[in-house]
Amino acid sequence: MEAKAGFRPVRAWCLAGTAAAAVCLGLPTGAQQVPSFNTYGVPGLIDMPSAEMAPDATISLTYGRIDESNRGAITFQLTPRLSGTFRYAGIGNFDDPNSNADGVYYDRSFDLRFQLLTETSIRPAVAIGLQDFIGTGIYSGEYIVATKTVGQKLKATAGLGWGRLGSYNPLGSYGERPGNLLGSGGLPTYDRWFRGDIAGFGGLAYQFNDDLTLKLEYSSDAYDDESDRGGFEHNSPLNYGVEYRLPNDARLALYYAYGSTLGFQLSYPMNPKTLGIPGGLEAGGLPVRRRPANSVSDLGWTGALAAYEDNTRQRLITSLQADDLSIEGYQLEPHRATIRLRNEHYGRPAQAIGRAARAMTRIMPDSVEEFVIIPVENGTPMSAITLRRSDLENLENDAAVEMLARASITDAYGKAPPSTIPVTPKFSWSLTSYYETSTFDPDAPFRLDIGAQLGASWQITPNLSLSGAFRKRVIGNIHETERLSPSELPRARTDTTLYAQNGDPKLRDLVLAWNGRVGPDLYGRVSAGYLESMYAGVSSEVLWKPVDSALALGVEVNFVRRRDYDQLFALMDNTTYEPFSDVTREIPDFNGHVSAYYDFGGGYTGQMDIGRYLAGDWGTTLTVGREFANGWKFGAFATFTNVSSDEFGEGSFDKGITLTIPMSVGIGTPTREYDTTVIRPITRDGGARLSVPGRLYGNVRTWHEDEITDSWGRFWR
Amino acid sequence: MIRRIALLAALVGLAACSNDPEYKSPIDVTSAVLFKGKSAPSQITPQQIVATLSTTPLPVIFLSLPDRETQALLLRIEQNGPYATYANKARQSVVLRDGMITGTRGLSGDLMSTDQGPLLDLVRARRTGTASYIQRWLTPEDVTRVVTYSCGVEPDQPVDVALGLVKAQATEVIAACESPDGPAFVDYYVVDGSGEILASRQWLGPNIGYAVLHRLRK
Repeated sequence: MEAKAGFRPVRAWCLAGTAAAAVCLGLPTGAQQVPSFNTYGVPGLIDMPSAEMAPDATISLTYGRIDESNRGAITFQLTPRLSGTFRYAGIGNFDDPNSNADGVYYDRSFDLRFQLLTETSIRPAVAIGLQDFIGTGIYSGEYIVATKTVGQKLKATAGLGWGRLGSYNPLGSYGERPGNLLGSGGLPTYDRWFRGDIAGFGGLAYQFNDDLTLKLEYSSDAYDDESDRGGFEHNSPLNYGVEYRLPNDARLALYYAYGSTLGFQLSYPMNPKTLGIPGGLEAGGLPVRRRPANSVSDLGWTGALAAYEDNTRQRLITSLQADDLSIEGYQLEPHRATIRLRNEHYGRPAQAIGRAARAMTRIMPDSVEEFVIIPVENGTPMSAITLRRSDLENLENDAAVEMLARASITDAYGKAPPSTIPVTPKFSWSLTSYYETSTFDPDAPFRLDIGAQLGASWQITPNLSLSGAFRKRVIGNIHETERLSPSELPRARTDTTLYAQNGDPKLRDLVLAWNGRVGPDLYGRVSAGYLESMYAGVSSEVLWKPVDSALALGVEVNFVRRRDYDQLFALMDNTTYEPFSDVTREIPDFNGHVSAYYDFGGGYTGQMDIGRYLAGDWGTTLTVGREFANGWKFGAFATFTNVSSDEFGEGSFDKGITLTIPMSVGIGTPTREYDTTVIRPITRDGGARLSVPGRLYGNVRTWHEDEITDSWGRFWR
Repeated sequence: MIRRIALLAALVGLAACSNDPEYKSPIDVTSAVLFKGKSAPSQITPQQIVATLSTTPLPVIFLSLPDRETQALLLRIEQNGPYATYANKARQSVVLRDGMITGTRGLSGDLMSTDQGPLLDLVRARRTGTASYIQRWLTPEDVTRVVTYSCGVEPDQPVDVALGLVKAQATEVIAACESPDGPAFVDYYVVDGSGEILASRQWLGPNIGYAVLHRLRK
């Protein structure tokens, strides 16, 4: 093959064109840079914060060390101007009653930062921050800070600090800063904020080249605690640093700090908006078949409708199989075809719908103009997506929103054809590896088990399934956990240590679950069996969720029995024994909640659960979250019950953060698997909820208007 | 201990073993992410072209993605109005309108759709002028990114085309496009007397880069 049409090099053109030249050689315009992070894991210099913010939605994992202080942190850029941080610190050689046998003091803390002013050509960025604002207070401090870029390469930062950040060479003082804790720690320390001594801090960051940044900082942190109770030497307020940028914006920094010691820092930022393969690696779907204009009104075939239905059903099953989809039911009418669509493969709903619709254009008789696609989960029709075939033919090569504007999404109640096509395989099994982690035990802050898991699932009917898994540890140290903490409540969760020590091999769960529609806009579930590691029982739930509603309401009632510590088949009564005070307490048989879920739009969600918790306490859990069209989610929750903070113990109330990452990010092809990490600083007995597999809201919402619309870009993918 | 480590290694190496095709283990996914290699470059030989043209009566194109060092032969499998879909067995496809690429599927970083009408009109007419042109891609967030370009079109020298079974006298047309929202690019089209694009080098976006396309049988 000889291509005589020669292609000239592009470079000459780029250099010749005036406006084009800069763009050809430069980076995409307008991309916000990931800032460097300080040893606390927030944007900053070395030990001091700056007023910079990471690009919206950035999740940064950081590890910083100064002398014997180790700080691991995860920071979420919650909105373009608000960030939240969870930090786990370990200070070595620290004289404290809570230090472990090796003299390491472990501490968990949360920060919030808000950017009051963004940077312009004239004014600096200004941010206000609360550091360690609900912890036990060792890092407690507040600040107002300004950062200005000077020229191309220099960033100057100056700020005022309170608390820890006002401890060196204070300029003045305002009000009284109490030293004692509120409750048992873990409550917002609002009585301290912006009180007491005030000191100035600041510094410079000079970007030597694209990869190397030099830093100089004046720290307002006197390291009083570390000096008094550890071996820290504060000889100078000046810190010096050099930072190297690795690929993917990861950074490695080395410091000489406080005139006496060395430090370093590693940061790794991720962003749900930019991490992963755009559009995915998977093969394409089928192209639309356009009907010849003259055959659209041909109804000759309807004389043999039943035969056509049989024939097209089989072709549809075969065709969808190549797209990793299946159908549970099918109905053909002269102008309409309806399918019950089962999607075990595509992480985003619109892609499954789009693939099914395109397959249908190739198979349905030409007079069929309306396609009704009814996605089913656990045999339950979730919604009805009605598409006009001529729209599919006309809009295949247009912007995806054009098709969305013509799609209708309605409640599927009463619309779905019966489940006549058996699910295959009816019985599935898997033998694979698993891992479990255990965090924040002062004796070993991170423990890990790796082992083998044998799982099985039996789809008895489309609505009824039995599934479970056994686990056998191969290597790991979670069972070495010894710390059993005293409780003033029934030991609903603090006995987790006994389960960790005795559960190998173990039955992870074994649940018989029924799912179905109980009315228009109503969904139901009953699950029975070994529901989670510590409890067996029966859980039932009803959810009200119209397809186009931002609001959903649910009720869940559970009956529970404690599982035996060995986590096999035996059950125990619900009486827990408190070894520290030699008393017994009762976990009530019943617990449950009424829940309200709300989608605020723009990816922000809220949930409120009101009811009775495992230990019999009554109260409410508030959850806020942010989610992305590709399935990433992050959220924070807090539970307030009628248990006082003294009764609750360390932490005062139950709280935590969650991060959900779709596995498709890692492998590049669609999957419905997600990895959810819950970071709960302290697990206590108050505000503890039963963990039930298959709660309704997530699955139902997947097929409702908001998520289908958000993922619609994948309709033609 | 050594036995345990050996067992552990075996376990990690154990690809999820299941009769359920959708089953994925987190450890297996992690190892896939850590250890996956770059796909090998693929090259099409003249023999493959001859073999393909002699075994199918369908229109055939040769597609090359220089940035990825990959080449493929694609067969026309569907025609929807003016849009023709060309695909291979791996279900990777491109959509052509009068020879201009308007979309891709399965290439990773796909061009999802374009608004190509005004640009295509100028290119087909081999006329000088400016036209607007829109490209759309999915971002990793699964949000559709839309970039609108302004393209300056200019016919250049005449060329003789002899590509596969396609032989014609044609004109080279250059389209230089720029946008405030994305990198600028320069496309080349080889257009015959009837306005059909026989060959091109066309920008498909920041993920794929340029694609080189030759029509081997119309």
